[in-house]
Amino acid sequence: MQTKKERKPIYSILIEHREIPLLAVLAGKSWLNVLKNGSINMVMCCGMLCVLLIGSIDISITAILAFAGAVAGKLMGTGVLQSTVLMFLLGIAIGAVIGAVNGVLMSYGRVISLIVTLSTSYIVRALIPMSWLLGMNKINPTQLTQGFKDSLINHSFLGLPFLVWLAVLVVVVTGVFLKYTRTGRNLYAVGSNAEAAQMRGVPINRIRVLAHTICGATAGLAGIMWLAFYAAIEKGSALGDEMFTIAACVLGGVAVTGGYGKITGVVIGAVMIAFIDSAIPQMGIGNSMITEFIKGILLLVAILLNVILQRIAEKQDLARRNI
Amino acid sequence: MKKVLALVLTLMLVFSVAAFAEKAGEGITIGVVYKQSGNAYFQAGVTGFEQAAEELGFEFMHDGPDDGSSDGQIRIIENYIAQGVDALCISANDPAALVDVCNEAREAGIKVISWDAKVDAEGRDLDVEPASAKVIGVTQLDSIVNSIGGEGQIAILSAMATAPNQNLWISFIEEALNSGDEKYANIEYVGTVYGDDEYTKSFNETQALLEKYPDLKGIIVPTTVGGPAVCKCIQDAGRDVKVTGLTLASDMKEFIDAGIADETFLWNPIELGYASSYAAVALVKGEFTGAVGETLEVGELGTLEVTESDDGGSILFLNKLNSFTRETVDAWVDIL
Amino acid sequence: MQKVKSFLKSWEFFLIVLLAVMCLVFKITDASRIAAGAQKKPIFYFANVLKSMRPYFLYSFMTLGMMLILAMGDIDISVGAIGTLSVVTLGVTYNRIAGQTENGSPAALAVALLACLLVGSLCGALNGFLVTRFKELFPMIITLATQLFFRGFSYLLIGGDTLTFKDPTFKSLSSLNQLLKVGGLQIPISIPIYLALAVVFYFWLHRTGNGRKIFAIGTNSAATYYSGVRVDRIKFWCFVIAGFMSAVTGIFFVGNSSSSVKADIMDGYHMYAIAAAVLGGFSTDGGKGSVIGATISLVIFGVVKFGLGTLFAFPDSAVNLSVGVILILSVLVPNLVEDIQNKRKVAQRRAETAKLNAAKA
Repeated sequence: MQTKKERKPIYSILIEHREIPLLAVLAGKSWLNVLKNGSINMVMCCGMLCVLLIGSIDISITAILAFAGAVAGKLMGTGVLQSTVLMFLLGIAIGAVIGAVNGVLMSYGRVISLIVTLSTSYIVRALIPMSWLLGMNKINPTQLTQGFKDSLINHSFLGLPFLVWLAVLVVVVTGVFLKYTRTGRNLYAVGSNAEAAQMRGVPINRIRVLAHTICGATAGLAGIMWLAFYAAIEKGSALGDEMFTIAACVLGGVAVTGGYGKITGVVIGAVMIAFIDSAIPQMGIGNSMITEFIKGILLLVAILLNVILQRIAEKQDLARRNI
Repeated sequence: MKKVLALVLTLMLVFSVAAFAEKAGEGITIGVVYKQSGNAYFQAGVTGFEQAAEELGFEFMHDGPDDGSSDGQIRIIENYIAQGVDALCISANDPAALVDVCNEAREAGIKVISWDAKVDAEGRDLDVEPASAKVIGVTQLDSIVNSIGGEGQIAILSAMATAPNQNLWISFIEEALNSGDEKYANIEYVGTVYGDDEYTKSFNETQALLEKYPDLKGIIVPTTVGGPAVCKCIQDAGRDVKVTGLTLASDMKEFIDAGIADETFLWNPIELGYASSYAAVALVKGEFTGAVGETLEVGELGTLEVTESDDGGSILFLNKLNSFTRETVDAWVDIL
Repeated sequence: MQKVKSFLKSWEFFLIVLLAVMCLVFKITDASRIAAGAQKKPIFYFANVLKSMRPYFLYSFMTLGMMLILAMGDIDISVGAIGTLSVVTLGVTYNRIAGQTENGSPAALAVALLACLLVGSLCGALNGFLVTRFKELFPMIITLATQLFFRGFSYLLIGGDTLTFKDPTFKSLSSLNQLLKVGGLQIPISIPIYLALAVVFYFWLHRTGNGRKIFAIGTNSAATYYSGVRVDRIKFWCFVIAGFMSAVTGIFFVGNSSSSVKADIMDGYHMYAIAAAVLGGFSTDGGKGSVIGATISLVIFGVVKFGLGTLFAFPDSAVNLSVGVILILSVLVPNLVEDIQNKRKVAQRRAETAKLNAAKA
């Protein structure tokens, strides 16, 4: 049986080579913007990490984001829901339910996660423009209470807005959960070798459902954060951004095949994606396609370098032992 | 007895025909295609079609692609052709890409009108537009110049880099700036960025603009999606930058009240839909061919004249641009 | 008899039944809508449906390429972006050589078409190279990165412009979008071309050893490798073919969009291709699926989208909902059926053992 080798995380190389010019561009107070813009993706990355750890994937997160935001926003707009805290709880609940459905279909129904989540993203996105939800309209600032709009941006602690603190909180909770709880470590076990885990009495299907539920919940939370940050949500919100969440995880050294990944890596990956998002418009190129181009190259270089360095390290290892 | 019955029946028939005759568009079906579903601007346009449908008695269906693509529009148009509509009213995502499918529709006897965003001249019978591109562009420029007191840096945040309407307006804005007019002598135009009609993208691009140009005084946003995003970003950053552009009143009320935008504009998309349906019905009934110089009675809007457009086709201008200011915005909030 | 029985149990048969049921439902709806006066004339009849299949067969070529990749247990989400880049190359090359001349030039078009197909294949080759050389990485991640790269590259080539060609030579590409008139029927040209290619693919995949190797790789890559099959080489060429097919799709796309070329086209087409292939029996697990199944599922998606859009007035945004539901069910139902069969088998064996034990006692 193949053992998992310690990998050298990708970001260490990137910090050495690629990050410096970007940092130079971003001198000034824009680091705050980077953190603000990156927080929502960061929260989703935590959920994505859990799913990737069990060797699954979830591409429905941004659909969940838009759906949870739309439902909560609609309820606030019609006056049913006025409490900011309840909004967040509702978002998490909606996300968790959809995530659980994903998980059940994936584990008990034995449908490949890519297909399940592709389908749910189609379905969930198609629900948003239905007449009982948003119809042709979008949620705009006038439909939200002032308290809700202020909650994440205008309150700050130690100079950072609550939006960023919320992301930090999610990161810390996920980190502790994965490292210090039995269930969290079981995620790694299921991802690296499901059969072995099952032999040792890990309820693998339940763990899989749990991972997807967490991922859905973070996506739902991200939807409410989105709503509070941008004070608007519509059918196409965050369309296609799930790829950048996955990219952030991969940049952070998470193995898509499951079983390997650290929360610290994911944090750095997410911050890097946020850097690119904020830095490229500043370089004056100002074009989303160029942003994608650079993200693509960066992602490609990062993952390939990771593999190449790993191979070199292995070779040196063998040479040292005269094999 | 039989005679009486026959008389009654004949009378009924006559009256029913008379009742039909009252409504000019009875029995006509129109397929309305817009740029993208889930866009409030087009919801307003559809309201215009509804109003006209009540007056004229035609039926209509409406749809737009999920992703704002032209191949999605082609798919929808083909479905409408298969359903046998009498006229199509299209707001095109790309003026060139729809020409072939529109010509196929015209071969099948369907009248093709483009509204809001044109289909190229060889693929349409008539184009219905709110105002000439020059008026739309220069009005926004003059407004921002007034707002910032005649001097300072200004920028533009547009929709997609490929959006034909926006590109045309921007070209007229640039032309006016380069014309050497005294009014614009102290205005420095720093450039155009593209928000892709996405809220976040527009937000991030604005953030970058604000950071890159600390002396920026004004931003023109000629797209309804970008307006609220730009204003929200300026509000969060706490900067003194003025905004103008083409926006929905409901999106902008908060920011107009907060003083971030002094004045924004939009034609009334309801009127645009309304005029398009009158034109469609008249075309289908053959009372009107859409040739340059012809006139059309458009219900409440009065008589409009067809003129020749830049691309050699015929075009119908409404020539009405509404402005939303702190005084007028409340009246529009529930409409647009 | 055995053959008939196995056919009745096959996935293709299920798809045919599904298609028939859908047609029946749409036909009844059509008739009842006419009876109710909701529409003036029938919409859902063979000639009309056939004619309206055109937009849904646009990505059929891409589906053929995707089948190969899925059969090997890989996935390629860059196919849409490859199509975009090929089409942009086509437009830019033609523009360079022939420009916006009055009549255009057939030689220039030939060169541009070659360049388009070449670029498609090269993009596929890049994917294939990376996938075979960096086995530690998931093909999905590699193709995600190359997707962004290809898409960005197309943008670098023509920026935000739309290239529109009005000369008759380039316009001849629009004939790929025309309808063949055969005895009262109007058939989209893409359908016979697709069918011809599908027959070739069918014989290659299901009737030659070379094709079967692809399925073998999907079932067990290591075992196939040790039995002497050059796995990497086959993989590489399958990715090249997928790229080539994307370029072909792109050429049809130019015809579809009135001979104009833009950098943001064919976004999301990889999902259509994957959906059609998966409903056709292919799976990201690899090793299964058939060309016939994929062909039927292309028709199913076309019929469903057409029927829902025209008869049920589903907005375009909601049509994807049906795609999602069909996709989940198409994988979930067979799994559940299998579960039930397994349970029944176990129960049967238990009963037999119990009987034997009882007899022994």
